[in-house]
Amino acid sequence: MNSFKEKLKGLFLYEPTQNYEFVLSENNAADADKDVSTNFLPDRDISSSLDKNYDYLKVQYNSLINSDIIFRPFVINIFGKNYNALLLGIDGMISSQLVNNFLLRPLMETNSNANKTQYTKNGIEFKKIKKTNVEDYIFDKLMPQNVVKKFTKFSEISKSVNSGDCALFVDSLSIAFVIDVKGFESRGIDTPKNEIVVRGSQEAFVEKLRTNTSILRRLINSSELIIENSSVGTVSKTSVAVCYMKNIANSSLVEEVKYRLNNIDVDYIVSSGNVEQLIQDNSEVAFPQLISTERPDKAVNHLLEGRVVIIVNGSPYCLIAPGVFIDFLSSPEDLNLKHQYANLLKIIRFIATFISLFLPGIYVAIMNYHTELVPTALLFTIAASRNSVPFPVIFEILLMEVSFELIREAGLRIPTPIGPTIGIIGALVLGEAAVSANIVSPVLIIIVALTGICSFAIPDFSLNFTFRIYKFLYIFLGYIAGLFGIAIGIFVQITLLCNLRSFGASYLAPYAPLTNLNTSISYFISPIWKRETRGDFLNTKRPKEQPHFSRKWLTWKDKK
Amino acid sequence: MNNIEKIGKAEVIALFIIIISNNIIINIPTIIIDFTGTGAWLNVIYLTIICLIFMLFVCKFFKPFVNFDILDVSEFLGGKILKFIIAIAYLIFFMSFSAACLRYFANNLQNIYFDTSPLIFIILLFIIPIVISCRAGLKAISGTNIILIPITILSIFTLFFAASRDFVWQRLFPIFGYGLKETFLKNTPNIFVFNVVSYIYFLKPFLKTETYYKKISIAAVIMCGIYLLLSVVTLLMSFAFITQTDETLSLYLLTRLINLGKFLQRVDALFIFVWILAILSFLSLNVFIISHIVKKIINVKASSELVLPISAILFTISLSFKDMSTLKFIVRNIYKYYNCILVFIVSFLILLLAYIKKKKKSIKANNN
Repeated sequence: MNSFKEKLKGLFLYEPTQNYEFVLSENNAADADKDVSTNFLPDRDISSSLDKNYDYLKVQYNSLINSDIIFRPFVINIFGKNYNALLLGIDGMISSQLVNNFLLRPLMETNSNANKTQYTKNGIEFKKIKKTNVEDYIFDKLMPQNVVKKFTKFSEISKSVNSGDCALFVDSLSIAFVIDVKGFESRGIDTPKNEIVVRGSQEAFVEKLRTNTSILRRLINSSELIIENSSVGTVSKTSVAVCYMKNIANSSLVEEVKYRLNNIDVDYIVSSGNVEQLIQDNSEVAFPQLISTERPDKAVNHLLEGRVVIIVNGSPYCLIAPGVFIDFLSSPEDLNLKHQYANLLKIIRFIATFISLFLPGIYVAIMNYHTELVPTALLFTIAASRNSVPFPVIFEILLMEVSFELIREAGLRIPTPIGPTIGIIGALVLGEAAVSANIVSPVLIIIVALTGICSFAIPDFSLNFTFRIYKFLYIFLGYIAGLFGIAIGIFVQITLLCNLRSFGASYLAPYAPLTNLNTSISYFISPIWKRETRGDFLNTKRPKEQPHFSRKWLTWKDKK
Repeated sequence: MNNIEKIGKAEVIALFIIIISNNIIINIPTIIIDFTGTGAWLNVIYLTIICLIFMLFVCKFFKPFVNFDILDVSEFLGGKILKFIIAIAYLIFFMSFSAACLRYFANNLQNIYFDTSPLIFIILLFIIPIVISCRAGLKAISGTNIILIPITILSIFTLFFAASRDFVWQRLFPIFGYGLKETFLKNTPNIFVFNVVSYIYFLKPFLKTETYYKKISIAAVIMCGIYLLLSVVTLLMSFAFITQTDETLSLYLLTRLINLGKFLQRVDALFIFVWILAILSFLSLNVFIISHIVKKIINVKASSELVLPISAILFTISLSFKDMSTLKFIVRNIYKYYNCILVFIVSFLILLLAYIKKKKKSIKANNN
């Protein structure tokens, strides 16, 4: 009866609808102009009073709401005197085993007799207590770790603690010890996922900065390799390592890289892609201006050429500066192969690049303006196949190109096991259906498919994107003015590329301006023993890479 | 473009080649053929020798003037007034030649491919990349040029060799064309085809190392001679000289003779494509030099801002030619003599007198 009443009420009585609604209020103009630094606790020097330091840290780390911050107060006994101490660390970032066994245990053991000497003189026993500095005593005798730093500012301490170290504060000391007890989990070194080679190293960079720098150290094995650390991001304080060969890299280049990195004022960066966008010379140009690689061997090769490698913590891709156009058309495989094989691949890649960029545009241009270029027999075939298609060539090609881009994007986003299937099905079914429905001509399917295949032959991911964008531009130019339009596009593009610089190096180096091509950096490579010099455009400290006769085992007659 | 951008030896040579190639593309060799008939190739050899001797003198006179172009030399000789006069003369020279080239090529392009499109659009499409290129500076122009030059050279040589099967050797006769006098003496003003000399006058301060100046200049004249000889001989042997080949681009007519088997029977569009790139590169260089001259006259630091108004003037002048016959008349009867007088007489005299003045000054300084 009650339920019937309720239903009746629901039918006839008005009840206001109550939707759950959450709206974030927008920033007002005054907030937008506010200095970003006002949101942070002002930096302070460490006080000699442990309580004050503790209070500051509680506020800084929001200890009431933060669940993973560890504050461990304890007492250190030195020469019979007790000192209050505080250990700060982040759960999950530090190794509990290291902290318990090798930090807390030595510190908490009584150290009363450590500094006493006993001797007897004239039958009287003397005890001499050496006056010792507490700070030095802790540093020298109570910390068995290899990396211990002393800091006086809270900002320096928080940076280290956030990256997995722990900090020790001792009452009466106005410094804090930062001890390396990192113990967080990270991915192990794996094979490269996107830059696969047949005859090369099979290890790739990982997310952990120190692991990456250690790989470089291991491969280069020279004390001239410098790895300088800095941090980027006001909030994230992401560690960034600048690596270069001190005796090879141009000092101005190294300084410029460091200058740009140190003058980035952003709240956070999360990957090397962010850094790339923040330090590149020209953001308006779609062409990549820094090489991005997951391969340590490629990074090492560039380091030894005299370039600078930038490793960002948390990113398995490092950046290499400067990057010139031919770098993006080169594969890491090239240097592992004999020059004949590598050059063959480079020719194929060059053709693929040309096709992926220009073929759709040229097709539109020829079909609209220059049909005489097509052999008569072929022209008849094309005309016959287009006979039943009601759309102009431009519509056809845009339709298919956009469809292809959709398939490509969808293939990337869907789960890996079904990704390739969708790609194949999408391409085959869509293409076949479009031809059967007389929406597009079969020739056009070949053009679009060929363009797509060729675009996959471009070794660099960013350059591939660039060409995908410019391909549409050339389609448009081919449509409005045929080969004349394409010529204009090429001319403007080459001019702009000639004007583009990457960290002071001309983007089209070593071809424009023309310099020595018989170096280790040119598109077509010479035999390895002939690559005597480093790229002119890098202006390195050691221009010579190897002597004129590098194969000293050859007889004099052979050398001639 | 605030500071003078320096370019290397290879870039300068590439710039000269593009100038020479464009002379051929825009039908300059047919002017020689028109005036000298079948004696054109002898005329070219004769003019090359004269120009080489002339160039040796120019290099000698230019030698004491480090980082000077012809305008600086004029200023040294006759002060700002002479500099101004010479600058205006060269301004007219480059502007009219660039406008004529642009109009001539655009007109031919319209006739060949875009007969329904208005000429103004075609010329505008040329102007846009020129502006972009010139604003980027000489390094960008020379860089673009060095990338484009291999395909330009390849296109011209391919054309000459591909057309060789249609050569008729008998067309080279009579060897002296309209007569000895016409071939050698009367048509000496044909030396205007070596207009590359005018660029040599201006490119000196842009060279990275001046020591190459003489070698580069001589090389430019020799290359120009070879190119002209090749093109004149090719045209003579391909067409009877009485034929009016200058109705359209002569080289375009040559491309129509090419067929590579059954597959490629009409490849003229590919050649036109390459020549468009060459013309753009050439006109960009011209506009750059014009803006450099204007910059020197009005004494401004940056010439990049001048590119847009200069290009607008170029656009206007190129449209102002009434028709192609007017254009041809101007080139053959005014530009030809203007070029000879300015480049080969006036500039030479200025260089000579400035050289003497400089010598006298240095002798005086040594005596003191």
